[in-house]
Amino acid sequence: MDMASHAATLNIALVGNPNCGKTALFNQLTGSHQKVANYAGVTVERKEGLCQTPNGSKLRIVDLPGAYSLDAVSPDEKVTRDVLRGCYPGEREPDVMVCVVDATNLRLHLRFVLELMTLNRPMIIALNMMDNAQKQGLDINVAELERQLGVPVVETVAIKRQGTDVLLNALQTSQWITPEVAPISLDERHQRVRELLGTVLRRQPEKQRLDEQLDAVLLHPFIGLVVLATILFFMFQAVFAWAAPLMDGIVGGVETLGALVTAPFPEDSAIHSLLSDGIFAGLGNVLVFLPQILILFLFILVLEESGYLPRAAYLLDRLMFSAGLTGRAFIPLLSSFACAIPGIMATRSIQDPRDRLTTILVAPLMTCSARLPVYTLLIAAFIPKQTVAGLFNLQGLVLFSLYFFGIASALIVAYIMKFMRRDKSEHALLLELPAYRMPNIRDLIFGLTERGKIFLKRVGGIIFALTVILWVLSSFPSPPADFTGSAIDYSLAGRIGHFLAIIFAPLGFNWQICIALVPGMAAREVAVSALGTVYAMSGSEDAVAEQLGQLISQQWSLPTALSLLTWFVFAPQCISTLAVIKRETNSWKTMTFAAGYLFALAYFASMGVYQLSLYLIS
Amino acid sequence: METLVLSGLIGWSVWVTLKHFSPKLVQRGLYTLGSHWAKAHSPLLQKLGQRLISFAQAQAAGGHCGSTGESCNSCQACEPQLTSPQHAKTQASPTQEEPLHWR
Repeated sequence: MDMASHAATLNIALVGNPNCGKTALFNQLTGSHQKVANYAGVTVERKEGLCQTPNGSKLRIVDLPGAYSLDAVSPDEKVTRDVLRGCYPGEREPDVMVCVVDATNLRLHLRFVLELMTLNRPMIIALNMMDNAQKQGLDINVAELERQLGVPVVETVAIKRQGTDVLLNALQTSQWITPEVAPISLDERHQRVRELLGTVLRRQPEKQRLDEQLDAVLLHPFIGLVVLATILFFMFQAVFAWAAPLMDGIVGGVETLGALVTAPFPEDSAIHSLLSDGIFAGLGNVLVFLPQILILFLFILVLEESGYLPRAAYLLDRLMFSAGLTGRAFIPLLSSFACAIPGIMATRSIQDPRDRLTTILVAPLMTCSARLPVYTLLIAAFIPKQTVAGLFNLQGLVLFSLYFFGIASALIVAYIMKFMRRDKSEHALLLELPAYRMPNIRDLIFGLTERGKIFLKRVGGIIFALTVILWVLSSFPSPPADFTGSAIDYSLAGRIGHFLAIIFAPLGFNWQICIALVPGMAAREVAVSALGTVYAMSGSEDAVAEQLGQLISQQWSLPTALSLLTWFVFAPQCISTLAVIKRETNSWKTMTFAAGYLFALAYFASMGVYQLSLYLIS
Repeated sequence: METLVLSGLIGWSVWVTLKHFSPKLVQRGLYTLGSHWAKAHSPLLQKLGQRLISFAQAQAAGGHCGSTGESCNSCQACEPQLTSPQHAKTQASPTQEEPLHWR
């Protein structure tokens, strides 16, 4: 696009309080698939997209992080403030603001609308979530609201694609209405909102009861915690119980495909070895965990969509507060269960820089989905498939305890960091509880498809690439004719593994594990594919034919498996996470500290677990 | 043939791995190489250099400009393409100006 057309494209800013549906509207307008969820603080970066109005006008839509006012207190709110005031580096001033308002919470959202009007910029109000407002018995006189505010008001239901055509029609006009409002005090703004609500809103209170009844149970200091523990517990049980048939199907599929693909090549050829020992032995062992990852994300998506997550943050606030974490850290830490990278980025919604730093430093301790293949491989290999107390799956119980172990470690580390701070001031949790919402099946399917794509992209991208490199390192240099050991012992990977094994001997790691840890720095799942490749390269034909889980259960001791599990609870085996820590803190020192303390923790905790379990077994 | 396939696969794997560990370094390396070639006397090398520069810009994560690492909103890599009516991209916000510290 040339500069002339670039300037001709209208710049539209989507702005509003957190969790009012800005990103859902952005997705509808631009055809994008940005993450949406039913809690505040999902968007922490500005996002831009293009769309066309019915008359062919080009619009550049900028989705801004939610803010409660223009007096920014957190890094994400500062982005919104600066873009709207036209002082954000490299960002054009918005030509029009589309102020997205949650129709079910006009009291809060209109306050920000009134503040935005003082910017004296063209504005359109998108009155979103009108369906929920009607369900709650809220009767909003939209025409009167439009008259009182003096700017166009459009009704939308962004998640159901309703109202976007009307909004685009309103945007394509060149007759912008610019409110000319002088700044008023906060008290005056409150008063003005009360007056507005008195004239435009009629409420039928009896329809609001369901949310309150649910909150009475789910936010109860004791029952609420029991419900939360039950949900999490059920989630991890399901990860093991529901995934088994699908995993068996994938194992069968990979084996059949492997046999078909390798059949045309002679068994002693390099390409046969690469396909069989490298790619199928390596990637197949990672691919098999797709069902478990999808089941875990199904639960996370349902919890996100339903509006339960902020309630969980509220329930755990006291615990987090006593550990030196702010309640606002809950959402970033919870995001870290998917991946530490969005979790660390989500800390931008934390106002206090010390709280933010503490959250960034403990986020890698949350069990991300990349650990799942490692955990489930070791659990399936070493923990018997049996029922405890006639109800619980023992393997699910162990997985639950590993997640719990990660959370407990994060709280302990945060508690220690609390004492390292000079300023010990604490900040109370102020969190908006969204309305409960029935998860939308279409959104769930879309969310799961996206997660599946991300996983498969990793398998087909970096995991595949590292598997090939590891195969090369495990195959070359070839041993001389008189070499008596396995060929991999003579290879570069074998030598590295044997060298590292000296360092990791107190942890009970053999040289095969040591080799797997090196490419595992790129992504934790790579460790599983690397183990598959290394064992396939070093094993006999019978061993290659066996599944990795069975193989390691025969070759490793229980203390070694426990030690490796402990290693993966703590070790920052993810270079991308370290890079994000550097970017978000703008400090090499902090990144080095994070990597150092996590590796030290991993080393000594694994050594402790290994030595203790050896002692107990002997 | 086997050697060719293996070499291609290994080359691709090294490329993907390097890009994973340091995308900016790879992108800058390609950009620098392209810039040198673009100044060469040979028209073929000049053309290759231009192609390499475009490739380096296209490789920049999130549509960021290859030369600076930030979004300039005017070069080919940064400007959203209007090939379809709907198009979106994420703009990484500049984050922390001062290093975070807890004291």
